[in-house]
Amino acid sequence: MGNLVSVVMSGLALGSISALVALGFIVTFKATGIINFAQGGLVTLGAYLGYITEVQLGLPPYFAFPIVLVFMFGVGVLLERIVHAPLRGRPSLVVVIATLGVGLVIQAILLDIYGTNARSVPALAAGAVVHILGANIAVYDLIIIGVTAVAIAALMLVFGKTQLGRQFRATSLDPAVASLQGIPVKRFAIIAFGAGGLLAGLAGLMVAPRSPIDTNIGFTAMITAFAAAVIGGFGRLEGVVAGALALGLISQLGGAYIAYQYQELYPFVVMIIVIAIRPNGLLGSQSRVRL
Amino acid sequence: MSVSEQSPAEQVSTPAEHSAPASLADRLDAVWSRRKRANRRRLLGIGVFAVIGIIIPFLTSNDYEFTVLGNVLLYALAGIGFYFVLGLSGQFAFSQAAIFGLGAYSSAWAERLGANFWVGLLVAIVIVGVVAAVIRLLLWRASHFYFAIATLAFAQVSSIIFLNWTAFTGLSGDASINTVPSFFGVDIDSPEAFYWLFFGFVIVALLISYLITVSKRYRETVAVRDRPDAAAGLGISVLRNQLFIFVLGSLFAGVAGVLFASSQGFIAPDSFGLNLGIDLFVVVVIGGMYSVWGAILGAIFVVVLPEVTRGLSDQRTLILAILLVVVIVLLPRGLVGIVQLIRDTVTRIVKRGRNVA
Repeated sequence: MGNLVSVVMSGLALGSISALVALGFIVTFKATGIINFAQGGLVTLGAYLGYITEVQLGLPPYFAFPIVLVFMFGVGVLLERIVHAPLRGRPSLVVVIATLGVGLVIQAILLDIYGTNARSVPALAAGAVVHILGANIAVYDLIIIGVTAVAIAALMLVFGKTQLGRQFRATSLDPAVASLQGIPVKRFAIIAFGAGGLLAGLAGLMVAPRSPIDTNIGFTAMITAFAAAVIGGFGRLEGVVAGALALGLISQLGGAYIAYQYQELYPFVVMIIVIAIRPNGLLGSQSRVRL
Repeated sequence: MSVSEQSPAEQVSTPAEHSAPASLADRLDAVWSRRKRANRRRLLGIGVFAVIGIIIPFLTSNDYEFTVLGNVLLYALAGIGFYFVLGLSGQFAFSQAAIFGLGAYSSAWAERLGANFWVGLLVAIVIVGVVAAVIRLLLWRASHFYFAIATLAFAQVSSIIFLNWTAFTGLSGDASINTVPSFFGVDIDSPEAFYWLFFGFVIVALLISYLITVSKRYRETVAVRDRPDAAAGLGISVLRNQLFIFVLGSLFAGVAGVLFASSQGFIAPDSFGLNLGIDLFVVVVIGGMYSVWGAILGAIFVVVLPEVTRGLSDQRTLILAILLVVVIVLLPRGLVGIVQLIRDTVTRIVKRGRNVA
């Protein structure tokens, strides 16, 4: 029982990280209809910024985190200026390759500076555990789950209840009509990319202390997050969260009870099967772009 | 969601003389003769490429240069396949590097069981063909973005399998290939011999691409890429068309993988990871996504650039990634686009000169 509880908890923590990573490209996608393949690079950048501020500069987390998040918002805006604004009206294949390329550039720069050696970032409440139903659960995993829950609640509140959120949803449903209503669609794209960068930064900061980081960390996380988003039906926040938690559990349970070495493989197999059977995701899609 | 940016060659052209009202028959004639001229030009291109490929070894003296040339040809072979999938058919596939690895491991596996090089090649072709077909059929309803995501996941799955399925690949994915390919009794065991082997395969690949270009299939594929609904309305099976091109393009990558494995003699999962994926993207995008010659130019560029800028070898990935972004944003038709631009400018100047004279 204790074993099962700890497997489930670590699955939930993994799923939360996937959800955080997914939130970034979902927000961008909602406003622009573009899936940002640079998200993995942005997450890696967030993780390394955590390393730079907390380890190299020795800043305390409550000081380091806001700096990183603001910086990452700026990186997101810059990304929009480089690969989204100039490519308006170009085929989506071109935009996909461009965002992927920027992600690779970020990854290559970090590899150039930090090399292949893995770096460790200290966790909040490092080493602390709580006992739940006979299992030892790391407090940091609970913090991750909590931060993710807060981020999702905040996004749902913004999208669902505020004027800004309604305008955002209008942009997502039909950009042409939205811009006729006086909604600044282009400015929204900038904000959306910025928010995507910020959320990537948050995901990077959260994932970095769980295990030593290398420059591939974000890319792998991005693919898993894609899988979560696909299963949940792209564009629905609650679907993405459900998909991410389910995949985290599948990966951990499969690793614990089927074959350990294929642990990272199960989510992808599940995703490919889902695309084959229900191309709109298990919960259906809400997005304007036919996926 | 259109994928292409039409290159001038593909645009539906109107007769040059707008002034004289040409009859329909005349106009059809003009279209046909233009197409015939273009096809002759394509054959001529392959001929020129063959002649250059035959001359170059006489200017080459050492094994190192032959190895570099061989790498160019391998990248060109995989790149031609990727051009079919990405450029011609407009499918966002990230599976090319994994398929390359699958070909390499399949032949290594067959040869470990006692097959010779050619049987190993055949086994690899069958395995790659089946896997590519299954993938494409599984994703038959997937849209562009989902196809990209799913093939990205396939690449990830493959690298995990290469690493862990030791019965197929080898301990932690390391496999050595000891079989020496032989061609009508001639052992292929030096970089020079491998150059000729690769050269033969690239020529065959170019001829296959020529046959496709002159066939109905080419025009159907462009139609499916640019206007899938209209193409379906004309009775073209979108799935069958995309399946054909995807499997064909994957086979090219798989064969390149087989050749890579037997020329290296040793393969590991790292050879088929993200870096190879980036390289292949750069080959196709930098050369020019909408022409088979783009793959050749791109292959030359990607292989030779790091050799001449040896001091920057640590920054190789960084340089290639930056180039990928710059080219896709500023030069959507790649190096081929530059060549076409120069050709068009020269023709215009020559014409203007004639008019003045």
